[in-house]
Amino acid sequence: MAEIKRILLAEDDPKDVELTLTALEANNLANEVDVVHDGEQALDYLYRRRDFKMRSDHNPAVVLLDLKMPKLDGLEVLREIRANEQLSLIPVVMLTSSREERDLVESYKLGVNAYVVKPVDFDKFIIAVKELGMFWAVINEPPPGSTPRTKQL
Amino acid sequence: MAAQPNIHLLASLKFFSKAASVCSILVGCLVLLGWIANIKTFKSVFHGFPEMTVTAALSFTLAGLSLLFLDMEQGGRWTIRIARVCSFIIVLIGLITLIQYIDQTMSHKFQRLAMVDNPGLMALPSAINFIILGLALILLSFRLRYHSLIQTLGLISAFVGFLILLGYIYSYSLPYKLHIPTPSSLHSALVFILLGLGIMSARPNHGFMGIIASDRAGGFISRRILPLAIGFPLIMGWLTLESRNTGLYGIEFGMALQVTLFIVIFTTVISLIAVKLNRADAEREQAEEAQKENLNQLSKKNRYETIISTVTRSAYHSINPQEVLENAVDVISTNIDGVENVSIFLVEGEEAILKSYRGYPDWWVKRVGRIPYPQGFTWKTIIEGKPRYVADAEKDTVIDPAWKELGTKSYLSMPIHFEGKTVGCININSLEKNAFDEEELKLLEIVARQVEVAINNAQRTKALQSSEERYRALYEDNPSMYFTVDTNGTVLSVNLSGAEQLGYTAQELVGQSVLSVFYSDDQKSVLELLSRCLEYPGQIFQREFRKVCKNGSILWTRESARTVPDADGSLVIFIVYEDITERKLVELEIKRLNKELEQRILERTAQLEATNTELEAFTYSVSHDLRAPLRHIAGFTDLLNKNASSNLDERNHRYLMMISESVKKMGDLIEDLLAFSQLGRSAMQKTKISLERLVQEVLHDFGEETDGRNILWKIDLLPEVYADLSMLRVVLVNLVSNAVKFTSTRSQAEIEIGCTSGKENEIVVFVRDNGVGLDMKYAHKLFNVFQRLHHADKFEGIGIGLATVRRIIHRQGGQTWAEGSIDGGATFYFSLPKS
Repeated sequence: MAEIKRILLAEDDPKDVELTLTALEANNLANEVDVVHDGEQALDYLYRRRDFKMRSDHNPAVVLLDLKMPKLDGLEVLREIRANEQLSLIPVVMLTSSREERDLVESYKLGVNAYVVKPVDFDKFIIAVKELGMFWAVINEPPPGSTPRTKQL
Repeated sequence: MAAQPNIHLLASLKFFSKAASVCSILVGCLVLLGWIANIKTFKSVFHGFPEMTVTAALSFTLAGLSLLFLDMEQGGRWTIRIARVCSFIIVLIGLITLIQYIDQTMSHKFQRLAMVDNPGLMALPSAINFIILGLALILLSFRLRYHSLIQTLGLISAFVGFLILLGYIYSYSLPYKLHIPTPSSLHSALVFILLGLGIMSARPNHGFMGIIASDRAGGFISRRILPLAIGFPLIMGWLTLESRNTGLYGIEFGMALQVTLFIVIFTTVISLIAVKLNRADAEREQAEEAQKENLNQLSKKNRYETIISTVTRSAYHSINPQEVLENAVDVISTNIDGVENVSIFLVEGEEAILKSYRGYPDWWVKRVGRIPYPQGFTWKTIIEGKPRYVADAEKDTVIDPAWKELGTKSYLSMPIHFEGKTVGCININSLEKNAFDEEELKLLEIVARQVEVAINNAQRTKALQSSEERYRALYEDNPSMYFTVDTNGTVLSVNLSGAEQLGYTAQELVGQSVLSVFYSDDQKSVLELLSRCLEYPGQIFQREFRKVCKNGSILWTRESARTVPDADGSLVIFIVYEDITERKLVELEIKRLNKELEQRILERTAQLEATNTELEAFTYSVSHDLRAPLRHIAGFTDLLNKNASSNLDERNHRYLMMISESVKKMGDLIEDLLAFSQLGRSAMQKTKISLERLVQEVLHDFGEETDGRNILWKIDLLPEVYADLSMLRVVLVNLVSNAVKFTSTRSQAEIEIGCTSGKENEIVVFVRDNGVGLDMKYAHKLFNVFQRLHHADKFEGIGIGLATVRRIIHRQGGQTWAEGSIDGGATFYFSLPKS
């Protein structure tokens, strides 16, 4: 199996986290996911501060951001990532319930790599998450600085 | 008065004067010749008679020359000078001779005076006579003066000559030879007479010769009696002497003869003169008579001219025709001979009214004050429009009895014309027959014409007056307000309304500056307006101002001002103004309301915007927050189904399925709702669209859906429209989708897409089907959100399609409506503006 890279999932709703992880699990990607519950934690993770000081110094292969989160929302986190020299190259995928035009426009303006609307239909959701995980964590070649890790089984 | 000279006599006398001078020259020259050639006859005429001296002969020659020169009609300065020199020489010769005599008297004896003793020395009377002649000639050389003196001197000279001649005659007649009484020669005497008379005749129309030569009685008598007075005693004297000499008759008889002859001749001459004078007198009287007649004519002419000038002046200066008529009858009655009375009639309706008259008694005036049509000669003149003269009224058949009673024997009636019609007549009457003629006719014609002028003037004046009155009334009583101001802005006049409106009287405003009635803030712009008016005379300038009434209240007025020339040529500004206070207040109120309205709109807009923002926030939140739990339900139901399906019985399994379906439905609802709310917010881009092509594209997309259906598509020719392409596509998709859906029960579905003419600038498109139709009772609800007219189990859909259609069409500026009946198909219309 090819090298699996780490995935950062920023999602405040635990039900969504579970559904997402379930979907990833179905594709054997769940173990590579680090979950944070708001925008601030996502940045702490990326900057390796507070709870994440001890984290290895590699950037994740992809960041899956929920749009609506407490403290800092997805767009603010994305702006911060793109503003930081160290983080700016990390691929970011916006995961959201809405296809509101202004959110879409704003996200692309800030340099999002993909924008995915979570389907209500769970089957479709599983397919979407699977493809997402497969593409970013497996197929896509991440930028330098995100050291690959061998899958720990 | 200058003497009336007899031209022929004057010429004769002048000729005589010349002849005398020539004779004098001839005699002088002959005597001189006689002396030179020693011809005795030339020197003394008769033997033994005294000879003429050389000096005398020379003097005669010179005197003759002098007179001849002076007699020349066209003598220049030189002839006068020569004449004067000759005369001086003559006087000089006379004086020298006289001095010689005085000298001799002092030293010699008197008897030595005899000519024989001294043949060069002329006789004393001759010398004196030459001095007289010379002086007369000198004086004569000063033309036009001393006439009587010259003629007296000439007469003296002639008398002296006559005296000498008489001496010769009488001494010859005496029976005894008398010693020659005078040393002067016989021809000297004759020439003296000739020269004397010649000098007298040189200026025959002056001095006392003028009297003799005149054609008057004095000249006439003197010319006849003078020769007699001279000749008769001469002849008588001679006859007396002769008779004594011859002894033919005695002295008594001689005297008797003399007296008889005297009486006879004088009687005859006087009778002749008397006859002649009588005849002349008679002629004169006749001439005087003729002149008197002439004068009479002249005075008549003067009087007629007075009539004309008086009437004319009156006609041109008076605006009252009655005054002109009075003047006319006045001047006619006093200035035409034989006029007894004068009357002027003017036609009023069916009557001729006596307007003015002179010389009629009261009873007559009462009777003919109004003459009814067509009585008497007055009406005859008026009807015929021609002058009428009747020289003998007794033979006249037309004359009214009233005139006859007055004793009218002749009359003249002259029509008065005005504007091509006869409007009256002038009548003059006389108590004598044949009182008038052509002249009076012409005179009255002129008077009648002047009366016409007067009537015309009066009418014009009346018209002018009424026009002026109308204008005045218009000015004074007009509800509009007028000011007339001069170039300095001083009020010249103001009409009643103008003054009253401001609470003043006209008198209070006239003479004031017009500025005083304006609000102080507006006065500057009033001045501007006035100066603009003066700059562009004739143009109207309008502006609105505030005026201050006498009681202090403010009046809004609109002024129209223009500069016009006054009657005397100076410029005045005419200001008309209307009260616009009410309008102005309304205007101000409207402005205030508009402002308020604007404010309210702003507030509403702000409210609306706020509401919109809230709505957006709401839909945003719906799209995010409503979906998340839905997704969770769906997700976990699905997981439950997967994980527990083996443990669930069929019923529970069905429950899970129903949960899943509901969740899916809910997801669709939310999806459509969001799409619908999106329509109101997304920006619109209108372009020209070919409806034809768009319909084709939409139908193409339906291809899959209608597979297996039996649908008859009827697509009309469709126009180009102006709309947002993607939105219009949504509209068509919705309508076609509905049509397809509601015809699904039909074995043969018919769907027609067409276009009808709507209102102006509007295109109406319809989609018609033969489907299940609709109940018109609920047609008004059709286009509401989530409104359904059919049960969900019959036809799919959530009832948002038509709401979407309406929303889009409204946003494009059009309308939507539907027609149909239950089970009778339905037609859905939408309209779009053409531009």
